[in-house]
Amino acid sequence: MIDHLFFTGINILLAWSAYIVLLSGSLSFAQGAFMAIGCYIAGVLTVKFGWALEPALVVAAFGTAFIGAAIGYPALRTRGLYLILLTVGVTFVVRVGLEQFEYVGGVLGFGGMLGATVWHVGVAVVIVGAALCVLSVSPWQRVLDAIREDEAVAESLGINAAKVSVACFSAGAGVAAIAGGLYGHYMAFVRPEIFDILISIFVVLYVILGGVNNMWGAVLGAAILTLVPEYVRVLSEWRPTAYGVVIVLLLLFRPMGLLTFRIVTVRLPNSPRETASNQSA
Amino acid sequence: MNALRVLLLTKMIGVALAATFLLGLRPALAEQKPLIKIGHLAAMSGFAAVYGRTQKLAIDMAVKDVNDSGGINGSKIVVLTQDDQLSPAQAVRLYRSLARQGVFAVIGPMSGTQWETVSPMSKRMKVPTIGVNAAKPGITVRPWSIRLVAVEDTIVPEAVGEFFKSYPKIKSIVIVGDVREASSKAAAEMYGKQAAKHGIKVLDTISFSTRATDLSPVAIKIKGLKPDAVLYAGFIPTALLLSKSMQAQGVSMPVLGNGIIWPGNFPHAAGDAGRNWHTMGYSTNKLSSGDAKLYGSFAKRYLAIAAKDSALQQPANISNNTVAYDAVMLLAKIMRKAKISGATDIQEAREKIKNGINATKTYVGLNKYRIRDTGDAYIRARAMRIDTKNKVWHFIK
Repeated sequence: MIDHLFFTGINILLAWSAYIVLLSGSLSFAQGAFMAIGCYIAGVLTVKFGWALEPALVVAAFGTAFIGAAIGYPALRTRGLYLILLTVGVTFVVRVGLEQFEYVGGVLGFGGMLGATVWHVGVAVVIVGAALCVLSVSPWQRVLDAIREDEAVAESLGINAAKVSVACFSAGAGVAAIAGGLYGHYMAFVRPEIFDILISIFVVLYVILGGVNNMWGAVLGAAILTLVPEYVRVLSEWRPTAYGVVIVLLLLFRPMGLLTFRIVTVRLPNSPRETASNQSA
Repeated sequence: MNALRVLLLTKMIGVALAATFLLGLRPALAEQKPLIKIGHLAAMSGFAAVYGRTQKLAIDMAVKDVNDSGGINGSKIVVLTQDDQLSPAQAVRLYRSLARQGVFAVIGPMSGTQWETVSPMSKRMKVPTIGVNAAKPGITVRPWSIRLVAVEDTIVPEAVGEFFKSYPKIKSIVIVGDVREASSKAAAEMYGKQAAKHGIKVLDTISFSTRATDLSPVAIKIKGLKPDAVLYAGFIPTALLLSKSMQAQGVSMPVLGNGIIWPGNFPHAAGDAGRNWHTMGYSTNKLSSGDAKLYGSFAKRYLAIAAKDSALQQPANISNNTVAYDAVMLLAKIMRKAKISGATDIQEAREKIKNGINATKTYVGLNKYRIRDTGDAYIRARAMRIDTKNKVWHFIK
């Protein structure tokens, strides 16, 4: 049960990392790469420099967010399929780079990381979840909705869509890094081959199946796709088929995802719309 | 006087009856002792399922042999096999699950990455664990885990040395390796060192990727370099690709593959393209380094059982599944000696098994083991050549 909770929490964090990027209308398949970067940064700090886990995670998150911003700034000039291909490329580049980086073991892997517990994951989920809750009801959600729906119109309203998109890409990278750091310190040993493109694909699948309109869709999608394979374990050899059937059924009957509602944002008392509606009344 | 005799006789008959009754009860009482549970982690589905299933076959044979000989101190044993799909995350989850289910020990998991994750866990969770796969040296964390399998820092030097001796005309080689896979990369590096040790010139080291689908450029390069032999480090699919490509290019020098191609279906799938191929290991379908009589009986039974599995290519390749059998038998021996039964407290049983494992310096079963300080076993490794007609491996000498 504890392991189920732990890995469900990790996948929720990863799903949120993809969701944050999706908020600005971009689809990224680089979350696996950012998970790897975060894992290795946190691992180097704890194993090579003797840091405690918690500050190592914070540094890993900010470091990876910075790397995410550096990648996102040129990458987000592209859109749609080209952005997807670019982020897939980032995943491959990071994996191959880690395989060549002998300081962290290269292909032989990196071990010795310890200390992550289900409580760490719980705290991380609560913190990131609280931040997303606040964002969901804040005016910033409307800004992100505007960019996602029509970037040109958003720009014409004075919104700097590029900056907001890069900020989302960077924040998503930071959250993925936290998940990676916790994963590495739970498993105690990782190899670059673990962080391949499949992780990024599954992460996006969590969000799409759960629903892209609100933060809870990512939670539901991650929980279902983490726990269902455990409970169809009895099917043994048919498990991959059963897993695939579940995904196909969900996409057929709920193509917008399981949770399609939007969260109503809060309007401040002296906002222009409030003032206008008061005047008309 | 007669009354006294009758009384005495009655008492004697009563005692005899009581003794007979109690003696008869003993087996029934013994059968009521709880089972001894042993955990087993292996890939039972996915691309590595054939390795897991054949390993389970050997383990089931061992369980039957133990139980047929009376169990362990009155308790039968049962092995709980969990399908980890060769995933490290699954291995972690299932290992904990097995520990919670009260297993006295765990056999597995299979891959090197999984072992590097589970071996430290065995120390933290205090569960005796025996690895029966994975060849990367230096990744076993004592004292709660050991690996009964021989690892590459002994297998490669011994097998390569025998290979060079068997082909004394070899003066130059090409090393072909999957450098993006940990154990293959390590093997490729060891090949280079062994070549230097034997005064063999390495003409080139050619790298390829695990997911390569066309190795004809590698075969063409080998053809151009004209080595006397090729040393290969990688998985079976790419070994098969390389063998076909080399055959297509008319390249026919001896090839020595690493131990990864020893188990599995290479002898069946390679066909005539594999006629120059060799591998390294410690047992064939006929011979091993251990008890010859025991091995002969085991091999006969294993092949007969495997012949009934339509999913397995025939004849089945016994290869390193002997280690899984020996793991169960070693645990049984330790538990018998330590007077462990199913009624023993779990933590006490685990502690005794751990002590028994650490006290074991040598063991002779289907293979002959010497347990090293690193926690890995030493088994004398041999080079093997392929018998394309019968689709089996034979020792090179």
